[in-house]
Amino acid sequence: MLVLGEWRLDLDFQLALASSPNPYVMLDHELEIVWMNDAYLRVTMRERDALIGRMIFDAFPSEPGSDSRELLARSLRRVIETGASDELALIRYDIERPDGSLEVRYWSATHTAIADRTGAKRYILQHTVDVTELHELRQLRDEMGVIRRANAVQQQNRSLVDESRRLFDFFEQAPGFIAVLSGPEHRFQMANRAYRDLVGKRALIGNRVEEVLPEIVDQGFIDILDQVFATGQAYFGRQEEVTLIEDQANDARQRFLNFIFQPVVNADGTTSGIIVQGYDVTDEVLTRERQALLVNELNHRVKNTLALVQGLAQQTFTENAEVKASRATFDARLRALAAAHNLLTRESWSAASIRDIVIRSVEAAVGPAAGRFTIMGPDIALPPQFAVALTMIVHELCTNAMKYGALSNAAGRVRVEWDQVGGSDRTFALTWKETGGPQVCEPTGRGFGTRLIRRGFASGAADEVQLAFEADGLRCEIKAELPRQ
Amino acid sequence: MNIEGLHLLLVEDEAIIGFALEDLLSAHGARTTLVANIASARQRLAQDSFDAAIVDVNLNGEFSYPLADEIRATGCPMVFATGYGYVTHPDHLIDTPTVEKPYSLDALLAALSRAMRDHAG
Repeated sequence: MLVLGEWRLDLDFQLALASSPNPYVMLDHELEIVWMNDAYLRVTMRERDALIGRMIFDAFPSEPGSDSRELLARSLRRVIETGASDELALIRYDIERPDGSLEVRYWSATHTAIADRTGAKRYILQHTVDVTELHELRQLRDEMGVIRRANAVQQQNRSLVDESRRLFDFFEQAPGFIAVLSGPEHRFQMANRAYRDLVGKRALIGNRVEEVLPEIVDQGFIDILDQVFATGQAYFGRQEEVTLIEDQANDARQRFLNFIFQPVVNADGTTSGIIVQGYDVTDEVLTRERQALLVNELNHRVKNTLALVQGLAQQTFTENAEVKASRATFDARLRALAAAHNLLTRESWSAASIRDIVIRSVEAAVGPAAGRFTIMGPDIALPPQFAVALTMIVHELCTNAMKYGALSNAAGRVRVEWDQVGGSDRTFALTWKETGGPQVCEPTGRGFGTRLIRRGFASGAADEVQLAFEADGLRCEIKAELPRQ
Repeated sequence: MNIEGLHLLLVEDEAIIGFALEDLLSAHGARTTLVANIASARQRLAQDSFDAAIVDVNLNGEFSYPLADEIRATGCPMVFATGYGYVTHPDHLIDTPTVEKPYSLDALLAALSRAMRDHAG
């Protein structure tokens, strides 16, 4: 029993075809000959054993690239690919005689696609009619015109098929998504690859939009389709948010689409369907949103930095301070702040290395005296606020050391060390120890620098600052807890 | 507005800005308590009572809105200081008097005065 399209008949087709006076041959999808009837053997002058299991073009050799070879090959390929029948009204295909010489033959052939029982494999049933005699007769009777006309029609049909196939390829490969819906129920008539990718793997053709994409009903899209169909007015969607449910995982995917619902209007003014065409602009929309966030964040940072500079100015230019000295102090503090910003900008304001901060701040504040420092500790990444705070603290420690401490004479040294403490990679302690300077004592007033140093990072409960005015020089210990990332 | 004798809670993570704020307000006779993070602010709120609070919106990269809710719950008038403007405020806090950084003493006093009037009214 054969399965032809959707019909199943209890009739032995093989037997019927085998005894038919018309020649039939059956090829599998790789064009291997799998069956033929006796009539076929007669017209091709072959034995069954010499044909079964051979490729059609091996069994009946022809010049590769020749017109007849190409014509036949194309027809067979079309049948395999599309599953539709194909006809060759007239084809010259010469046949080898048993003695090895070639006989000129003209054929008319029908190729029909036949699915196996499971529908998985496709076969081709070729029905050939030897029209050599007719062809020759017509030639003799000078009726070549008719044949030529038939040839022309066939050519034309071919080019129409080729043309529509080319159009279909354009449609299929178009970068935008396209679907054609028909009727007031919006049944899918066609959908290209971009559309299928957009909605995920779902059976589309012949089904209604609301069956295939039930999740968009509540999002109002069916109402819009109904309206477009009823009024014949196109609908444009700009960056519209659509939530689509992934078939398998049942995950909701948020997409932003630019699209048009374009009514297909008949000559009499009625609407027959809707073309859905558009682009997925999700990436663009998300990028723009991220950019807006960044701009907002930048605005915050700039304002905060301005407030910081304002605070620096307020605390540097005090009423009884001398203007010239104040200005120099202010300039130095601004430079320290700018240096911290440079370090942070290198890492896109995500973090800065503690080592870089200490080294740069020291170099900026003390110049050549940086050679009198010993700086050591593991590389810890500090978030922006910590980086700025540490920069300002190191700057003030340096300034004090130059004015009153180890850097106020020629022999003093400073050791800056830090490490992670308390078994946590979020808690670290930094020690600043001066030696070899003049005797230091606790200052009586509370200048900005001391105030800033005493405060430390003040970011959490574990934060602690110890200032000790030891006999051989200042010791400052700062402990801080970094925020969870 | 006269802030003499008022006890103000200042929540500002940026030391230099916090110091300036403290100086500015104490120069006008206010008593100030400066804290730099949410945990310390909670601690102080539990120990002390304040006439008003000035709260920075972004504390070490974290929004201070939950803290603002707690401060309001204690019945303390409150002012936001921010570099963001009003855009980040949640709906229920949109009417909170807000000064934009960098702010002037006048702007700050006006906001404080509004916060305390709203509170009294």
